[in-house]
Amino acid sequence: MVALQLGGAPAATLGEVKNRADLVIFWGSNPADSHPRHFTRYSGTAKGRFTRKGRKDRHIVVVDVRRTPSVKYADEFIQVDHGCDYEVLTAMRMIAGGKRPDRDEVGGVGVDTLANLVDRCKKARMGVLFFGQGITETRGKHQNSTAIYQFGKDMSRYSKFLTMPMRGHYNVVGSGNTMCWQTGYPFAVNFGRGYPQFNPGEFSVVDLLSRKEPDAALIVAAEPMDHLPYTAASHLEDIPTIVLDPRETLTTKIARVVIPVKHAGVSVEGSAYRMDHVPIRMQAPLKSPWPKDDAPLDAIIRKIKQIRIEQAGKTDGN
Amino acid sequence: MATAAKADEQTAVFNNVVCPFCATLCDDLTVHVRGNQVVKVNGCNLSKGVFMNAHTEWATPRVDGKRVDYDDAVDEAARILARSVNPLIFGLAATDVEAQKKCIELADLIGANLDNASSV
Repeated sequence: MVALQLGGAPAATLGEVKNRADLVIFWGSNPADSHPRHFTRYSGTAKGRFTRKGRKDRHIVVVDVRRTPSVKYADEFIQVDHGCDYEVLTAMRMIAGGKRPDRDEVGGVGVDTLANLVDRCKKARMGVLFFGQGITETRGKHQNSTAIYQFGKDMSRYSKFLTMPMRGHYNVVGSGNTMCWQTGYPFAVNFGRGYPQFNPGEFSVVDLLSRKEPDAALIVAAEPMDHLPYTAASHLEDIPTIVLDPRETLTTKIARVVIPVKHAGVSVEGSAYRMDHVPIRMQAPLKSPWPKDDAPLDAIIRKIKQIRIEQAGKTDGN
Repeated sequence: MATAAKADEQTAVFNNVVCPFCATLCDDLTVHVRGNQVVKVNGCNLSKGVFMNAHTEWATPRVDGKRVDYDDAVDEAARILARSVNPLIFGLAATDVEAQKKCIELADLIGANLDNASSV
């Protein structure tokens, strides 16, 4: 997300990818396990208007630090040394700019292999680079993604070239979009001064919890005890933590207050954003006895307003 | 929106169901439901996990580990957040846009830090 703000990126829907892309690169992403039907619906075997032969019309490259299950679906596998994605991307940008690195190998990959890949990207009718947590969660973090976006920008001079993160949670794109449209910022927002302020590193969850700053937490549809570093998550055990979740999780086990809710897309209808920012209305095939999460949130808002009125009344009385 | 049609006496079939697991958000699932349990779904292994296990390990309203009435849990949550001087609201990635909007409204009201999984 920070990388997107630094680099910018051309966007397209997955429908465009299905219909047009003849070069698909998965970098630090293992869709065979994490997004199993991405390949059949959009990026691999899917047949589109200008990709009538489906898989035969696409060249698929997997770039990763290890041979993941996705490799068997690819035409080409490029193995990068651990933590060397930034170096490899920089070398590719260099090659794209007409220079050649002064060595035979960068980050465990032969320069000739990289030159071939850059050449393919330049000649593609439409190339797409999907990147995953292998890029965003390793050494270099958002600088890796920035290098990806900048490489995409370089390639756009020669071909139609897209870069798209393989987002994990089904509506994580929606959380960024909704926060953008409501507050102006996609994440790490603070309302302490009465207006939204944005500062990743200061108001981002891992940093806040690691510095033990929050004195209470409300967790909505997330599993921080499982997904955050323990040094950060453990602070949630020391403060009153409230959890809204349909299911028991590791976080509900340490929570002071647990409020069960319906499961969006399973037991209640709702809107979510796909990874290409297309909003989709979800159905509810099952029933749940609990309310939808807006209801307790709304009740909490009303109750806090009431508490404040009561407190103001007491202060006036004194 | 739900396109329920009777497959047999007990089974309702929902077509074009969207899978709330990964951000591919496949919207072409057929879900067979019998007695509020999913008995068959044609998605990937991840979506099968979502729908087939939808009713296992349901959360219950609790305060300090003790089962309480729903409204009491909500009231206690409100008291905690009203007292807090630097609250954190985190999550949002695995729920719908309507709930996300409510979280933002609450964060604005109590002067909270608000963050989602993008920053992790």
